[in-house]
Amino acid sequence: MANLQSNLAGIKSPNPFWLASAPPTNSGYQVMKAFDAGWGGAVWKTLGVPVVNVSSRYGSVNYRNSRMIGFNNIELITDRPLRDNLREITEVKKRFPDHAVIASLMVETKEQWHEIMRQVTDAGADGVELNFGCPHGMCERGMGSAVGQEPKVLKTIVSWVKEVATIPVIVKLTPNITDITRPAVAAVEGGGDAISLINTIQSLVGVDIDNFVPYPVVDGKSTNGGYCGPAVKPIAMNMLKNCAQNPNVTIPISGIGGIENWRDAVEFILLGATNVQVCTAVMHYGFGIIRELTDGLERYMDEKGFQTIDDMRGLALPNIKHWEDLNLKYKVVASINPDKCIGCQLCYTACEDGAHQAIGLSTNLSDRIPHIIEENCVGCNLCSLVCPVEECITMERRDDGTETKTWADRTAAGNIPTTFNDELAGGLHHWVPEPGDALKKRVPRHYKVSGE
Amino acid sequence: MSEFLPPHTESDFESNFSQLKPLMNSTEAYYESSRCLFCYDAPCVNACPTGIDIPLFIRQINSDNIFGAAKTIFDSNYFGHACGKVCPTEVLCEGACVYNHSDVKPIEIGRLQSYATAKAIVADKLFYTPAAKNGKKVAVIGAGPAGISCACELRLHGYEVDIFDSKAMPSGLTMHGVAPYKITNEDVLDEMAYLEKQFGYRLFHNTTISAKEDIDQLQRNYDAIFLGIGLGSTSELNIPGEDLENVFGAVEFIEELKIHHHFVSVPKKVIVLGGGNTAMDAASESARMGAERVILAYRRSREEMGAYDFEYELAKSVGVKGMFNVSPVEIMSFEDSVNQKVPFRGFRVKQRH
Ligand SMILES: Cc1cc2nc3c(=O)[nH]c(=O)nc-3n(C[C@H](O)[C@H](O)[C@H](O)COP(=O)(O)O)c2cc1C
Ligand code: SF4
Ligand code: SF4
Ligand code: SF4
Repeated sequence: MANLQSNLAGIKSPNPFWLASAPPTNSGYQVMKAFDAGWGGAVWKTLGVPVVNVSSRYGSVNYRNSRMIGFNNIELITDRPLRDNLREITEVKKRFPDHAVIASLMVETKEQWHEIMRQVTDAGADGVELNFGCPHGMCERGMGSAVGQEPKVLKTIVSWVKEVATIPVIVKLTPNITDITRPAVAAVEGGGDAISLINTIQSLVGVDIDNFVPYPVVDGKSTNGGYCGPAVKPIAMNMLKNCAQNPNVTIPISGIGGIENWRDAVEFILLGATNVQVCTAVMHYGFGIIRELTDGLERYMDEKGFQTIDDMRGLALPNIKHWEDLNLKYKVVASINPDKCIGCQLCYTACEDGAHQAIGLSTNLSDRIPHIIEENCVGCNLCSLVCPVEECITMERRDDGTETKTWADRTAAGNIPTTFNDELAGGLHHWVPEPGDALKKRVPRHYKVSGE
Repeated sequence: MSEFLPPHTESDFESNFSQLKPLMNSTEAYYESSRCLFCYDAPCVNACPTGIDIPLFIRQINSDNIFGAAKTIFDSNYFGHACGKVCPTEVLCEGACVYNHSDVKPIEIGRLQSYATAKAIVADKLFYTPAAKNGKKVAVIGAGPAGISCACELRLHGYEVDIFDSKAMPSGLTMHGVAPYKITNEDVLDEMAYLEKQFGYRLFHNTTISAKEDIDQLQRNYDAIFLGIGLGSTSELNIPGEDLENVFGAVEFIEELKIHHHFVSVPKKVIVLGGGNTAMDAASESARMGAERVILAYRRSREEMGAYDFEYELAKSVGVKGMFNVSPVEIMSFEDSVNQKVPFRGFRVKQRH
């Protein structure tokens, strides 16, 4: 049986699933409930000088019938007195000594950093996470992402904390920056024991088009918020990969951003995360999702023969190359399985209007099964992505796998297009229809411009 | 066997005839519209006799452009609301939906259609205004779907239109012939009022055009005449006993029921002759009116019935029993022991071999 135990820079937890610092970790009540449900650790809602929040704090992006695929908040750090939070941390640790309780911190001066470090350590926290990520409100006051965007400042503050730290220090990074590895390296240089990423992305999730004000609406006005939830996962994973592949980022990484199920967690771990943190999914579905998370991860590990999380960590990293190192000889083409096709013809319009005119409609009126015009297919995958039937369009390999030639190879050999009408252009001998042919095409009778 | 007690009040009637395709609420409409794939050259459109751009109106619903959706529907079909409810969608648009090929429930196109159009009707959102008068007048005979649609179209081109109908209310079959569980009279009349308001044709009710003189007169007064006369009476059986008391044509029975609801009384035992959709309706309706035994007798096999399968299934679901390969030869009546006239004792039937 796989061992789900996790160890991030010395902070141990029964499994790699932590609650991220956010409303689900607002109180001892919630954290106890989460541990009881099976969560391995919790990063407490960020502590500091308590704030005053606005009412109407969240907005969301719904996609068709899926709610909250993206989630946005304008909430600040904790609004509860430090004293109460510390007492509850102690209480939780007493009841759950093997679970990880991390105190998330955000203060301003060196003295405050030192003071709060001492207090949370005394309360029994297993580690701290420095919140350099919050992209709204706190950054206007010189904290949060204002620090995370300035690697020098970030490094200085980490070193202040490290002056007094007796427990591991995690540095939480903001994604609101062009190159995530710069603050990551600064965290290492400041002496940080781990980094965690990503915090939320600056965002506006929508505009009330009747009243001309973005969401969430606070008395007729709004402000930018921080974006999270499933929609940010691809951005988080790319940043995670950038840090994990950087040789100067020598400390472990806690992965955050859009994780909702065990598959997401596995992906993060394969990209180099030591553990993962979850917020939006819990705000959406509650602590109970941990049952699916741990079960799925355990089954996956058993199936693959991984004993520990470390066995699988970073396994996808060697397969992430620069574009110039990809094999230009690799060739796939789309293939439609007529037994599965339901005749929606979405692949046809996708390729016809959005790709390479490599799909033809059936001439047989009864079946509507399109066909691939192989010589036009560049193997872009688009049709297979839009097809609503699982495994109906597959991409079939056409090269024999014996040849490898990359852009880097071609560059070295002086074999790349360099002039505007270069004979070496990739699309030169690729068939494209004549522009005027577009107007000769028969279109369905109801595809008329409205008002015609 | 009776599932339904004879209705004594309008609310009994409504519950016995609860709507098969009830109006969606906005959440249901949003979820259902989300499933539509927006197929290219969509088979549902091609299966719609009026060619409504279904993927377009569904996408409009999904992006909360409900009036835009309603306009898309009415542009192709002035009876957009009624059709959403009464069309045999199972064999038309929904039957053609690509989801059927992956054994996934097809999109509920009919209900989405009624959802969007009902919103426009309730909000009194008017989309059409007649064109300036072109000086021509057309007489339309029959205020059913064909006649009304014709009138709407003519009004858009500037014709003056007078519609003549023998009934007291418009919409022909929709009002008088469609089973009450498919659409309510209010819904029918609301859509009629909505159209009349926008297109401004004149309706002359209780006006039967039957004699040659009537036609001659119309020909004198109008530039053209449109015959929109779909709904006829039930065909005759031509067997003895057909004119006995309590022997009705299905069309007449349904009409009676549509107009008088719970005031119609249906006896305990009913036999319906025929295998078409009207027969199925009459049988279902008898059962829903509290008849304890309803037998549907058809002269050929079940497979040969003209009715849609789902209509027969619907009748069976309310307890109707099918009897096949039997032809009636006579309807008989007799007087019982206390000299009360019993309308008929039964049929003599001939078994088909
Ligand atoms: C396959 C692909 C190729 C693109 N190529 C270009 C490009 O050549 N030039 C450019 O300015 N943007 C390019 N873009 C970016 C798009 O113009 C656009 O900014 C981006 O996709 C975001 O818009 P969307 O969410 O509507 O797709 C490309 C996008 C895609 C998906
Ligand atoms: S893979 Fe791309 S080019 Fe090939 S058929 Fe599909 S959409 Fe067209
Ligand atoms: S998208 Fe898939 S199901 Fe639809 S027509 Fe193409 S192959 Fe068939
Ligand atoms: S066939 Fe079905 S899925 Fe396709 S456009 Fe029509 S309703 Fe939508």
